[in-house]
Amino acid sequence: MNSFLADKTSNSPALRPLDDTVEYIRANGARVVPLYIVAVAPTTMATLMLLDTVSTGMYSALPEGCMLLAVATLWKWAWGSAVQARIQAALSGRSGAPLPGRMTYIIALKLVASMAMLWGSFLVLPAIYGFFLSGMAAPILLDSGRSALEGAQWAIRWVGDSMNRALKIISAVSILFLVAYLGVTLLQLMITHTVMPSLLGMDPTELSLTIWGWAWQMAVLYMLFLVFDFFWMVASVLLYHDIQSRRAGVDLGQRLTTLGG
Amino acid sequence: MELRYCVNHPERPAIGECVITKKPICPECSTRYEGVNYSREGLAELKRRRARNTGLGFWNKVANMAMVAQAPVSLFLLYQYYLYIFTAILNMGGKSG
Repeated sequence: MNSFLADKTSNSPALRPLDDTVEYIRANGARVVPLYIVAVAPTTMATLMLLDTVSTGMYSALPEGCMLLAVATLWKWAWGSAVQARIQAALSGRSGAPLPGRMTYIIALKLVASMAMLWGSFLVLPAIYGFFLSGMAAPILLDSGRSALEGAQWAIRWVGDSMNRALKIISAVSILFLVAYLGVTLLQLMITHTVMPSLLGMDPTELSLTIWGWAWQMAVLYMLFLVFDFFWMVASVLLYHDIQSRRAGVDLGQRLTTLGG
Repeated sequence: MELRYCVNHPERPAIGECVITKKPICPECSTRYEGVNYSREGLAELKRRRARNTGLGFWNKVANMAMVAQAPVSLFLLYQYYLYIFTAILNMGGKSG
């Protein structure tokens, strides 16, 4: 992304795994997108149901909806791990540890990471560790015979040692998200203020009411979140592989070129 | 990029460095184990470290069991977090949407 962002510990630019992610999705996205859709289908349904509950003001239906969303999150993590396992197998050229045998530890690690990321977010630092631990839980535990505890220690040590690199990655992803949200908002404005009244001669009043309502805005945010969640799911594997590649002296770019055919 | 040469064979270009000793090594001096490269000295050091850590095996198992055992508590906290967020959204004006 930017070669000047290379940090002190490596010659490799900090954002190179994000560039590689775009390249991987462009060349191999069709292999993993269907699995990702399976992964997020229940969470999407649960979230849309909750947004409907919120827009109608039904307090009593919230606990059931949130329970459903929590269970759907476990499903998403399980299938998300399958997505990451598929990418990792393609990158490393070997199948790694069998996914079902490691699933309990992966889910346990992701739960710990989520607690750090969600409840620890007001302290900032736990959220940074949680963000990377959650993304890399499956790649770490599938790559070798590490236990869940050793996997957590590995990720925490990496973030601690490469905080500059980690912060650059988080900043880049956050800026991309904000730009994307701004782009979507501008697109909606353009449709309701220019395209519909001027070009199509339609009255946009009803559509405007829907678009600027809470439920619609939250749904748009969630859909954007899904796009970035998929991006980060792929990027985490490539980041882990990039870390290992630099340690092993193997060029990840070369491997990606081979995969892209 | 600077070309580095094997610490044992100065005439041969290095393919990487040993993760333990950090010295550049050529394909002949490199052993790939658990996805990373080790020199002969690095492997010996790894073996020593593993032997030292064997005594910690029991506590590692206990820690792993604890990590799995905490999962229901974390799941409950995840549910609580969702409930907190969606209640906050509702209170902030979700009804007006």
